[in-house]
Amino acid sequence: MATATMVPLATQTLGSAAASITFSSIPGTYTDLRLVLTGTTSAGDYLTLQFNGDTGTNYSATGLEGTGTVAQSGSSTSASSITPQNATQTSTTVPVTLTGDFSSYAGGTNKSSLFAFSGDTNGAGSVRLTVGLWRSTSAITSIKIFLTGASNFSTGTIATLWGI
Amino acid sequence: MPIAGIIASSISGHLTTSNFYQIQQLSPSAVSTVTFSSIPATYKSLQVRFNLVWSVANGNGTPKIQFNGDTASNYGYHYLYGDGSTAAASGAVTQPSILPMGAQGITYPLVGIVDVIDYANANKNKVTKSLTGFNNNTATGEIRVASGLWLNTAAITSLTVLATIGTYTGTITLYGSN
Repeated sequence: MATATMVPLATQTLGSAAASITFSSIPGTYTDLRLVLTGTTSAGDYLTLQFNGDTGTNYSATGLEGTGTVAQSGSSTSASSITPQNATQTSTTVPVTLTGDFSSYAGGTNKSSLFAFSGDTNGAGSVRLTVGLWRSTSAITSIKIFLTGASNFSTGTIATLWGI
Repeated sequence: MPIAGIIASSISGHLTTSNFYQIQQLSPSAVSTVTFSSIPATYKSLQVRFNLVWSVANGNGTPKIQFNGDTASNYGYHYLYGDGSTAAASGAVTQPSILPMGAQGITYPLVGIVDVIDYANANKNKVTKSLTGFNNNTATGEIRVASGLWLNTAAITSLTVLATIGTYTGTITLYGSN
């Protein structure tokens, strides 16, 4: 019989506004990780991620996005985080959704991840697919999600981390 | 008053509650082909997740996937991709495989997730959905979402991941879900 997997490791439901959400002490016993986040923010802003507290310029990304009027692609190099979002800011009233798949997160290679972002504010919106790179061979033991404009995640924002 | 941050720590000892099963995990090293064979028909869908580094950098459409050892021109695909500067779409018919990705490199992993829906149904042609990506900290990465078609109504019992250029090293895992 095959081994059952895809295990919810932790869920955070914000009871009050917070500047960031961090999953730490992530065990290295799975092959991949999956993050699912949905929430609102105190101001229009952009979600971004860092691993293991690394604030250096060790991140990059390539994105594909549809805004409702155009399809476009962009990239970042030597950035201080992965920002899987471009055209549509987060909203104070309408939740955005982000999923992230962190491949071979505990292995000894550099870390590539896949993201899907969706946001719709009934007039503006976007969907974006992103591949992100963290140039580090360390196992991912913590994931920090925050906002580039230093606003806050609002009460009720939910984030779940799964092991696969 | 907002707090500085929320941290969940000491993550351990959780119960397995999903209907998502690991069927087999392979760790290829410098090979051009791996095959998952004798795939049981007991799931509703299959998912392949891979993390692969290539022996050569190239942008010419590898890895590829074939089913049941069929190397004939019974496959088709369509895709939408972004390469960091341009968003575009394309497709092809009568191909010898489906095409999850179009670029890969020698240092940073190409990653992908391929879903094969209703793979054990013996009365319909088989379709796939894939999301793949590669970034090497330059402007030459790629993110791609694709459909794949295998014009065959047979149940899928084997799945081959092959490189048409170079060899690959990494991890490929096959999952079944109900």
